[in-house]
Amino acid sequence: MSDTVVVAGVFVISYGMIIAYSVYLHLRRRRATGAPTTNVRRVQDVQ
Amino acid sequence: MTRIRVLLGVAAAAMTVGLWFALTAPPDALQGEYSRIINVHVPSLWLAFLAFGVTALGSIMWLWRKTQRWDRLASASAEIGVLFTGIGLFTGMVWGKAVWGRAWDWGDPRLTSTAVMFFVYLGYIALRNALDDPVVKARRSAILGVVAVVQVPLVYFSVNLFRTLHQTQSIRPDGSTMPAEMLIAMLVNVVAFTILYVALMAARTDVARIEEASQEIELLAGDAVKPPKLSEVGDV
Repeated sequence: MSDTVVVAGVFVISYGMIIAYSVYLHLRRRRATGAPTTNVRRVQDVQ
Repeated sequence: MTRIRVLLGVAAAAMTVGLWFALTAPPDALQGEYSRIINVHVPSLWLAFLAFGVTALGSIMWLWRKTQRWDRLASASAEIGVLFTGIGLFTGMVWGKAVWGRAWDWGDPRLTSTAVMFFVYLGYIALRNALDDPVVKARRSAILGVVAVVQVPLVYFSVNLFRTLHQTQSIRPDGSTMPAEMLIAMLVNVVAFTILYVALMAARTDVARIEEASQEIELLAGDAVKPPKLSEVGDV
């Protein structure tokens, strides 16, 4: 694997982790505020 | 929420500028393209040190004032610190594998002390998740937050105190060992990551504040706020 590909992968994974954490915070906030979500649940799980 | 969106927008712009500097800085004469990893590795660990310092400050202030917002600040900062310590370890391992020929060495004080710091703050998060009572949670994590920060100077100065595989600091009181273009790129990224820290802290403390408020409502209202079961609803 070329050096450039490895270094690009390091940047993608590092920045990806930061973006993933931001998305996680956004979803956690939505859940805490009781905002409507597209989560799916079976009827028997709700009962 | 608007303030947080603006902060995250500014952080995204700063990170984009930082990425541009990282990718356009000249490569190292011996390491080649791998030297660009410094633009993520150093800012990540700088941010982790800053975050754990803020955790200690928040912990001390909670122990003194017993105000919930200090606990919120401390816990939010610890979580962000763990994330960036993880990124620092990952980038360091890839860089080490390419330049030293090995990704990890348990005999190296810098690497080992950073790993210990990572696991101690993971333990801090685990401790908080294991406790329900908000006062007990805040007190115990504040004590750990104050004790654990001792590791930050130990990790930083480990390269000066012991013979290590890891290099010593590139920026010292008597100047820098780095060429200007590389140094500027790294410093731009340090600033960008610091702005990102402020934005993530604002977002994380906001989530904690909302969660605390909803928990208080549940405690006060009890079963009254629980939705009825579908089987209990007559006419659907």
